[in-house]
Amino acid sequence: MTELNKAHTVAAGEPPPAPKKAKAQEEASLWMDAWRSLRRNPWFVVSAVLLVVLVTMALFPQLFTDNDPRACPLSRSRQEPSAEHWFGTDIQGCDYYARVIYGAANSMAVGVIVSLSVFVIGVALGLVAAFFGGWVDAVLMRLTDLVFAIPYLLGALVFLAVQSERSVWDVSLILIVFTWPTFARLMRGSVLAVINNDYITAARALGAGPLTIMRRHILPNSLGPVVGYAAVFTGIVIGAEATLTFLGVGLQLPAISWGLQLDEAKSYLQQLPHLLTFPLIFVALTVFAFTSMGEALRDALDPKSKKR
Amino acid sequence: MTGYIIRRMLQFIPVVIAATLIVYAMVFLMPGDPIRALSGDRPMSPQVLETLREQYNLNDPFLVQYAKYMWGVFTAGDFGTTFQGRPVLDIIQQGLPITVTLALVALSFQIVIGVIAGVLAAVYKDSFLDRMVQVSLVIVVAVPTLAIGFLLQLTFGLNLEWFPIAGTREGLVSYVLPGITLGAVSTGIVARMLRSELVEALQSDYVRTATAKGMRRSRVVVRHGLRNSLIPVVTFLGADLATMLGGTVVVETIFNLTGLGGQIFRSIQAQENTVVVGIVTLFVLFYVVLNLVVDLLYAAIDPRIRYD
Amino acid sequence: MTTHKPQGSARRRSAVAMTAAAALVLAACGNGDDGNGDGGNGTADNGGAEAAGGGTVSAYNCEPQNLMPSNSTEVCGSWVLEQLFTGLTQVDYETYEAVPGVATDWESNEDQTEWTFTLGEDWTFHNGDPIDANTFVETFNWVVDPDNAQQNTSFYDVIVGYEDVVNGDAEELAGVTATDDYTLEFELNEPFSPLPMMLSYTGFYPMPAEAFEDPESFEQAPVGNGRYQMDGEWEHDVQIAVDRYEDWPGEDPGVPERIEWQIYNDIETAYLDVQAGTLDIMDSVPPNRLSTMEADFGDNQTMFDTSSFTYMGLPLYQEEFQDKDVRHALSMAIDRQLIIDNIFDGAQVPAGNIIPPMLPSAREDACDYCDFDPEAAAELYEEADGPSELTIYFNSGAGHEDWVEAVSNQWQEHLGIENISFESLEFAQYLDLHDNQEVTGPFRLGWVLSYPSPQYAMEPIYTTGKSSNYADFSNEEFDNLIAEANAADPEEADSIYQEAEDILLEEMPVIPMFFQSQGVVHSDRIQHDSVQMDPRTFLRVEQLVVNEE
Repeated sequence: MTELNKAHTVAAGEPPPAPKKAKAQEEASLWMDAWRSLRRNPWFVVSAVLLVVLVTMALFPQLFTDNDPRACPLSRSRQEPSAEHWFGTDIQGCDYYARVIYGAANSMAVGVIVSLSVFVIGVALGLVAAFFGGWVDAVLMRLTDLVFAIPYLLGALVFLAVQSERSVWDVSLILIVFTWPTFARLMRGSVLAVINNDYITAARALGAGPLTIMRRHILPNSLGPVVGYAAVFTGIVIGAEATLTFLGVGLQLPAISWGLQLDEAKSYLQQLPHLLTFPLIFVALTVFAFTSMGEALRDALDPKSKKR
Repeated sequence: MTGYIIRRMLQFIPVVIAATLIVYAMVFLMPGDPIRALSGDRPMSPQVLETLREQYNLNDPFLVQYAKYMWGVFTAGDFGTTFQGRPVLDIIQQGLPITVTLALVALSFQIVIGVIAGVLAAVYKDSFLDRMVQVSLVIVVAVPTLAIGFLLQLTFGLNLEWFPIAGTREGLVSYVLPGITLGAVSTGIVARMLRSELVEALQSDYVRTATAKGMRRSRVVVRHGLRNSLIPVVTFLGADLATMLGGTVVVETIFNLTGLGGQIFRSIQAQENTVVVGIVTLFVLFYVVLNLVVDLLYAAIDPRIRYD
Repeated sequence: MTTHKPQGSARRRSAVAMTAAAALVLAACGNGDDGNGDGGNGTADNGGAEAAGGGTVSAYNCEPQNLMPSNSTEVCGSWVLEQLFTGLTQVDYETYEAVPGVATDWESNEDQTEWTFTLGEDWTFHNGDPIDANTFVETFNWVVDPDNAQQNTSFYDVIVGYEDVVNGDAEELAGVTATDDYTLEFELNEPFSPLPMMLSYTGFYPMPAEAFEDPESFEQAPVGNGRYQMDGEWEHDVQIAVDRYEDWPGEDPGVPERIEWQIYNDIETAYLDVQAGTLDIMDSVPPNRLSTMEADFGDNQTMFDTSSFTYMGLPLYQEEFQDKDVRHALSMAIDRQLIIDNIFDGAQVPAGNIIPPMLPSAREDACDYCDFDPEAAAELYEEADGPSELTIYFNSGAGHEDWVEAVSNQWQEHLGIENISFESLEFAQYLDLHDNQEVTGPFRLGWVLSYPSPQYAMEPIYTTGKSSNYADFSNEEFDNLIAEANAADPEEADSIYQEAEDILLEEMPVIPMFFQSQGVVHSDRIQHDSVQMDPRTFLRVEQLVVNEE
């Protein structure tokens, strides 16, 4: 594409975020600024409170309910929500409120472990691929093609079949291995979009090392889309975990998770809608908390939107 | 430019070899005897088992099996047959058009609805409409795909009779509901991602300048804002299309479509190496081309990105 | 016939879409072209009703594994093949007796080891080739030939010379001979009175010469001798269409003029399509739909009891399960009816027997340890020092999760077992564990009768050394009783089979759980009274009457 116009004819480069100051001082003030703008953002406050509640629920479910989620007499199966059973009971006759509360631990764990890991892996690989280009880029990107091409069910069956126990970590690992490429691609795309900016060229000319350039100039300007996707992805993973169980390679019964509850509920959409509604509300709240939080963080950290 | 494209196409070779080898090995490593499972609970006579194993080269060591298969593919275009004797090429011929149509319908849905919703949400940031987009995303992420599909079938298929419930007999119309189901989550993500990017772009100096110069708002949004926000969206759509091809199992199943997603799923369960490898080969080829297209799109969107 | 399909799941019995002329007609009538029609909830009448004899029926089916009689071991294929082929005998499901098919008459010697079948003289294949005794000899020899690797081969093992042929020492079955054009003789290794019944099974249908030359292309459009003949090829994952064969010489030809099996991947989708009138009938209503079936279909729905038997096997090769008190306690701690009511919406019959309830030889109160008795169970379990930890095995993705979990909850509650875990595996892997005797706890398996004989309900699963004997049960008295019953006159045989069943119910190598009931729903086009299902879970599609209108 050499014959195309050279750089910046359409879009003028964005201004560099004033690069030459005392470093430590500048970073400190950056974080302070971010924190100040976060505190003033109501969405941040709401999502933070929500996340604290959800995490507490995952860690100490007994704070939220006295009922045993594993006490399941069939004789009280499929009850509608009532004063005694706030969320009704499920097919097995378990108290659904207790089930949903206790489901938080596995679901949040899988969601957070997987999202965080693929975020880190994707950012690192995408950054490296775009920054160095050439064969590094070619190898890494063809690797993503390869992973896309290998059906994750196949990987899951092979890997989990040799495991006797299937812990949250095993299930997370499978999901990580097969989902990082999207993140790497996203990151690479964002980096490619900023790497030709004047301020990067300037930093290079001034002799800044690759690490410095990546950390100080590229990362802050290219993380946005990946952060946004990672937040939503947490919710997607919570559902994906259930799919794995359905295929016989996910968390095993009698494990309790929102994913398993959603999976069971979908056979009874018309007959017993409460089975879908309650875990769904919790998954939705989690996704909502993560996306709002991501958005707020992004706004606060974004050098360009500070002028607001 | 041409050189770049040729180089990219050449990278196809190692990726295909690696993908087929890995996939073949994985199916090989899957526990259980596929021939044994053919007849279910009631066992076959040992002689029949033996003949069938011989017929499908299952007694050979792994590399010999692989070599025999690849030899057949490249010398005679023979992709083998299923354990029931059905040629794999036949299956691909039947499934490919369906899968491709489904993916394209889903993709157009994502692009049209996603982009419109994203632009509106960004332009009217923090308005009711913006929040609606966020809430819709949270909901589609939380509701299992299967439930979305079922609700669409129930509402638009059974009750309103606008679209067929299942099958492909009514042509493109049959793909509307499955396409929406398949694209729902990603449409939300596209909208959200575009919104974030656009909000950022609209705050940047060049957009302010353009506005200050008296350019019409709509023109500013499209010419300057949108253009600079598209890279992550295009990347995401590319990656999503890749996941869609292999990940259509649920949608294909509930809408009774005979596409490749469901086929590869069933073939993995039946450990039919021939089918799995045949389809994977096709997918890899597609991904390599797809990613080339995405990279070329980058250059078209942002002329500062160039390849040589 | 295998029991539950290996690849099947609760929602997905086996395999996909519709096209085809008649389906188009139906859709167009009921729904209007792009669906704006409000035509009373979309029923599709008169799709081909003006055609004289019987009209067209579109029926749900799953994708068959294959359409080769000698190779078909599952419901989706065998059900179709039964319409395309007629064997030597057929079964009358009113009396549970073998009745004439191609054979008009048969008799055996005193000890049931030599059998002579007289064949009707006017049978031909759909391509016009005549059928005589040699057709059967050639078919049977081809089926058993190990080079052809046909899955139903093992059904032939009672015939003299079977071992020699499968081991490659002989070309032909010594025990099957055509003494003249229309007389077929069988010589058996051992007395076997259920032979005429067994010969009704899919694996014994006659096949024309072309089947042996190129089996793979043959099964794309099998040429048989049955009530219906293929119209076009088998469209994989889409449909199989057959027309009535007007020259069928049997006594009760098919009622509908044409049958179209529409192949679905997902039973839930097929259910919606019947509701919309796009599909006429489906025979496996999803379990979670049973409670809404009446509301959705009014009079157009019904339930049938079947022979499909679900059991919890116990690995007798593990020490903990060798004490039969432990087995009795486990059985008595299960409240089958409660599970059926709450998990299956009533669509199972609690099993207190091994011989399926619809067979004439079945009894109701034969089992002493199948009734729910938590106190006795707890006491017995404690005395026998039953294991305090259990792993329950089942195959994944086939809809067993819910009831297995319920059983586990009851064992925990009533027997005080503290720790129960689950091992759910892909079917291939599941069978591997069984073959290697690596199963360490109760395991789920099932069995459906391929032909309605108490012999088939017991001999393959519980006699010593049989390959379906996953519990590894071995009881000499039981083995002898089965052999004795197989050698007895049919009138006396039943009571001997019952004695054998008593041993199973006392020794309890497997805990009987349920016999499945299957829901059937249909559109207004089908006359309700004509809907029948036999114990093999085969809908009698050839008897369906289409409402004239």
